[in-house]
Amino acid sequence: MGVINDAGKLVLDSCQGAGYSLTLLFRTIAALPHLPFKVRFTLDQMFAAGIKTIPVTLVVAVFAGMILSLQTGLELQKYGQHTLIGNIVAISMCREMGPFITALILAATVGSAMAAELGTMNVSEEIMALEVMSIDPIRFLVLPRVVALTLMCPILTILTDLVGIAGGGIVATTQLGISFPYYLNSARESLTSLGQGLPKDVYVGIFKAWIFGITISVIGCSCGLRARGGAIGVGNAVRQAVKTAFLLIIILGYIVTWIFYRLLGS
Amino acid sequence: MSKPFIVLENVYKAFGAKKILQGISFQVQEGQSYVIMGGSGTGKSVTLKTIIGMLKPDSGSVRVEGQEVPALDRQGLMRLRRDMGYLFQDGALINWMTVFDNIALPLRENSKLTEAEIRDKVMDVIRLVELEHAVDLLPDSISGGMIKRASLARALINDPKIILYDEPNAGLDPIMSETINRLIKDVQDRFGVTSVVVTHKRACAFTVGDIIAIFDQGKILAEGPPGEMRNSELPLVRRFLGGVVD
Ligand SMILES: Nc1ncnc2c1ncn2[C@@H]1O[C@H](COP(=O)(O)OP(=O)(O)OP(=O)(O)O)[C@@H](O)[C@H]1O
Ligand SMILES: [Mg+2]
Repeated sequence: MGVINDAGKLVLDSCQGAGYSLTLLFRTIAALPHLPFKVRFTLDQMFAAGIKTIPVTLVVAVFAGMILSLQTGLELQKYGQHTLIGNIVAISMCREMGPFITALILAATVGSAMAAELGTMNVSEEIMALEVMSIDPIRFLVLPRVVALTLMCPILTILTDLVGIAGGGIVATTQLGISFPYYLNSARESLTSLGQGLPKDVYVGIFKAWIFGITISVIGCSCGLRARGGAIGVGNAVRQAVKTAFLLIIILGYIVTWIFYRLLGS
Repeated sequence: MSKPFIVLENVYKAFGAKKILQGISFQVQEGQSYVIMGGSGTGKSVTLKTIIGMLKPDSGSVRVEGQEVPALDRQGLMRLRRDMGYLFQDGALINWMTVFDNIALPLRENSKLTEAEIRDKVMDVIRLVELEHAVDLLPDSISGGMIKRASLARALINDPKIILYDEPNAGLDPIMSETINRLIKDVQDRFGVTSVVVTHKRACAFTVGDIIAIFDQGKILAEGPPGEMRNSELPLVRRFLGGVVD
């Protein structure tokens, strides 16, 4: 009986949370005309969200590229196909790995920080104080955070893509005996093989990153704004924010891939 | 001088099964200061929050400046709140902004004043609460008394007609407590604001109160001018107000 109750409560809470987050997203979009008055806060947030996470992103990206290159390269070597490694690393970085890794890092660092900041403000009545002063917390707190991450996530993703490809190149040169220029060339060719201005693998990846940026920031803010009950409440909000963001990144990542490569054809 | 500014009629409020307010009715005249005392958890903060529209009563009427607060929409509430200041029990200063920025915030967000005009206004209230030395500090790095004064300054910055004080001198030493009492009195005399003050300190009640009310079990047990209340025969009133009065 207890289990059923708990499960029911969990479903109910999730639905309420989803409803709250969606409403928050729409209200943030509705607040967009006020963005020009929030440029300073938005830049602050972009700095906090973007610039400060660059070091960890770089390290993770370079190793991800190296692992990808080594694993796949050694396997391909058995069939004498390891010269394809440039294509494979470039495509998987840009399509999936780049946005995915970047989003996970941002969810764990920036999304959690958003939940903690807004959660702390909430439990110490600071959000209420804003409302009493006729200051809309969505314009004042949520809008700059969402805009900042929505811009920074794609930018960081491009960085991850580039660094990951470079990391793959290092392994290709040192471990697989492929020359760096050859590697780069095959990487570039695989991305531009369709002859379009902006290669599909790249823009789908950036589009994903954009969706992830919105998701992580809205979830972070939404969990923070719903935090109740002191430090424990803030802790729960952070945990909830990271968990939900991770789940949504995986699920939305699949949906976007499906739409672009399956629904709209390849 | 005797227009009812804040009127509560038969206000009920419960959180789930927990009944907090059970038929609260009182009036505060323009320029008057109404002091609420009562045990912990009797719904004093909840009463203030209903007055400013942060909580909706389950039933009953809350009118401020003639407007029915629970019926106001977002816009209406925002307009009404421009006339009101609220001193939170724990200050509720924005933790990542300096004292100056905190006090300037309502002006920066909601007025068309230039930065220089804002600076002048902010410095005026900062001088009033004697916080000149703390303008650039963050709330984390100042004492409880300074936080109370800073949030009083923030509540004053819009020249409100109504100020709601939630325990303005709880947890302060006697000297700071008295300073705050004098400040509240000062603000009342100088700007003629209407106020509702929740407090546990009888010194505060007697310094600032025109009317003192004692809350008990979600109702008003007794209310009246300080002189009358001081001589009340009711045991609970005597517990709050009797004894040594400084
Ligand atoms: N938003 C809320 N949700 C649920 N319960 C609440 C809420 N706000 C207040 N309460 C409950 O209502 C009761 C009265 O709260 P209130 O803050 O008004 O007390 P108080 O008279 O101000 O006491 P204190 O002197 O301790 O500040 C408390 O038991 C509190 O737990
Ligand atoms: Mg209280």
